[in-house]
Amino acid sequence: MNATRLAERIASLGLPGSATEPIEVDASTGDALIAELTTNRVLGLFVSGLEAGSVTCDDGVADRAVAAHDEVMSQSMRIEIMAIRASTILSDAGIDHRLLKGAGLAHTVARTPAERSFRDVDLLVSAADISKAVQVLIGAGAQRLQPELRLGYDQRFGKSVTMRLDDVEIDLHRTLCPGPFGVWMWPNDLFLLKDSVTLGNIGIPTLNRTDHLVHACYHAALGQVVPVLSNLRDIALLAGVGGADTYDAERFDETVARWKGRAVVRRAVGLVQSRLDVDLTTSLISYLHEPVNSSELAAIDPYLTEDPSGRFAALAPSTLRALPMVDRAAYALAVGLPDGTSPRDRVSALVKRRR
Amino acid sequence: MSEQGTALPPSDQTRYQRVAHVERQVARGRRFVQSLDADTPTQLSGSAPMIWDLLADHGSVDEIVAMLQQQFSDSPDVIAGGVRVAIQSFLDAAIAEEVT
Repeated sequence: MNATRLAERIASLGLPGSATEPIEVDASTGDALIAELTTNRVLGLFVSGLEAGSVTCDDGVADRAVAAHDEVMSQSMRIEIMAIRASTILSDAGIDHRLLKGAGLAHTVARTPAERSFRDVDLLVSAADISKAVQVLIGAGAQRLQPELRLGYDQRFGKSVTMRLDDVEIDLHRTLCPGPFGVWMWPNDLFLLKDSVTLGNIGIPTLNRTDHLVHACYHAALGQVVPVLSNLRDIALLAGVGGADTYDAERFDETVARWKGRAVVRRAVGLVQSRLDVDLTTSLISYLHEPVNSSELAAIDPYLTEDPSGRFAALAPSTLRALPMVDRAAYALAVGLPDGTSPRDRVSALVKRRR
Repeated sequence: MSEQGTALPPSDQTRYQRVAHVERQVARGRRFVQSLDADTPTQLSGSAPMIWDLLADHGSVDEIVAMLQQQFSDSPDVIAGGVRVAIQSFLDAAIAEEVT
């Protein structure tokens, strides 16, 4: 069994439907597997599997896995502290927000936080607040990594603003994804309900479980051509495996329909089924069989660009088509002629980007 | 990981508390604890994770010793010695502080 398939089996550990016999890792595969698990942010499952006896390997591989996991956990804890800090900064400025993905899910959905690592802080703010949130974080010492394309772009069209504070990346999201599906969603829906996760004795606002599941599906389906396994496991854990939903299936379906996201969920569920050994709930499985609008299906294609640097350019035409007519000129101007670039420079930059 | 210092051992009635922190239970019975002001985690091993957990609800050496006596047959002096060492290491790593 190669490292990729082994990683998928390990990412399925503890999920109903996964194999119960111990997973044997031979010495020749060990280092490749540790690298694969680290990239997929599920190394903690391997380490907990070692302790539970559901994974076996020689002592050398085990020692290297434990050392690698120690390093990953140190990084995750540092990022978690930054999540607390950034959330506190926003709260002190009166900016409502939601902690997304890793740091929130590690403490609420994963069996233990040590099984779910993460690489950055993701916070959702409303479009109305994003400029203020950027300024507040800059005031606290953060740097914005890319300038705003044109005044107002972040608030009207941007998916997120990436910032860095003390070498930790903070993604300040306006929506959950770029491109047409970002246009079709209604991010303010995500502020209607709120859960909380306690980090460092501080309650941090996070998405409601059903909204977390919506986000997990969007992230898995549209974030990368091959999503990391932790994202797929998140979907299985959030949905509730083995027949009983642990989310509000009716609200989930309504949101997905309103956001024109059936094709997104179909792709996400298909990825979970093809890569993890898990029995998903029938509510989610139904997305594999229900009809999906052809324009929604076609809208997924530009997200699956192999070259990540070409993604922005690939999504621009479909984003333009998805926008209301009234917004198209402003979007085209921002993307085609950002502030601070002459037309000649911008054309040159676009040509380079497409190569 | 933070290094342990050499300050005087804590007294048995003084009250201590854990500072705001994040933590992870990692492999081989170890715990990583990091205060919100620190750059790196402190590694707790052996009996230290258990004493760390007890410190959440029991603030003095005497109280923690009383709790551990219910679980272990060692003499109170032996247990107290271990608890003092552990709490001192928490203080040195700035993951716990004296309640004033």
